[in-house]
Amino acid sequence: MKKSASTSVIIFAIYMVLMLTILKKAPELFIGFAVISAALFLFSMIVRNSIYFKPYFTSKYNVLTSKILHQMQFDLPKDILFEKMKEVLTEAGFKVRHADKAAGILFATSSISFCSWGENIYVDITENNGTSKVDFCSACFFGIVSWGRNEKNYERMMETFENSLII
Amino acid sequence: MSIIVNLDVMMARRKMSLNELSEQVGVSVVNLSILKQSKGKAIRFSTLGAVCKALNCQPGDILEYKDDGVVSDESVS
Repeated sequence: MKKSASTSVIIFAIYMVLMLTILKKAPELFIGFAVISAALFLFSMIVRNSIYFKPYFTSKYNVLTSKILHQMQFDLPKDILFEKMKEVLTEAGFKVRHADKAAGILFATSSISFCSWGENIYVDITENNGTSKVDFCSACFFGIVSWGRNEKNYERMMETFENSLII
Repeated sequence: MSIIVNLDVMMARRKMSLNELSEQVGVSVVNLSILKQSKGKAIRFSTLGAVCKALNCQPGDILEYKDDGVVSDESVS
């Protein structure tokens, strides 16, 4: 958490320096840039942390956000796997925003970094005869190219899950 | 070959619930449930020791080897 906070501070500092430079050299450009940046931040605050926009982020017709989908099978009952996944997402460094045990839905977000505005992680768990199917989706908040962040999120989650099975 | 975890049997003998065992051992209820169902990848000696202490038993009372003809490369660590 401390690492993500310091990264956010650095990003914000760089952003402010950039804005001040633009303001000094091209005030008209600054206004346009400021409006776009404000709109993106506002969009991020409203949309990113809400489960209700899941259809937008996970839709295959949405070409504005890069996403990956993985399906896995586990030999565990749904209720145990749900709690385990919730634990794993937190240990892997994601922030769990929404957890619905009855529906088997988990929603988490990753922090902003130099490479991305952050990703939304959606985990759906369904049970079938004592085994569970997990649908994992990592979608960029904003960006056609994820620069490998979605894949890294998946790998990080799976690695944390595997390690967590050593009790 | 496979290792069966008979944790539920020992818990029933000692009349201990999963929540009580979790508090004594310091492992989450979820992880103990996974261990109980023999779905864990491995068990640490420290965890095994804590479980044996809590249930006042030996490792052999909890772990059982059963040859089911399937070769597995998972091991107790």
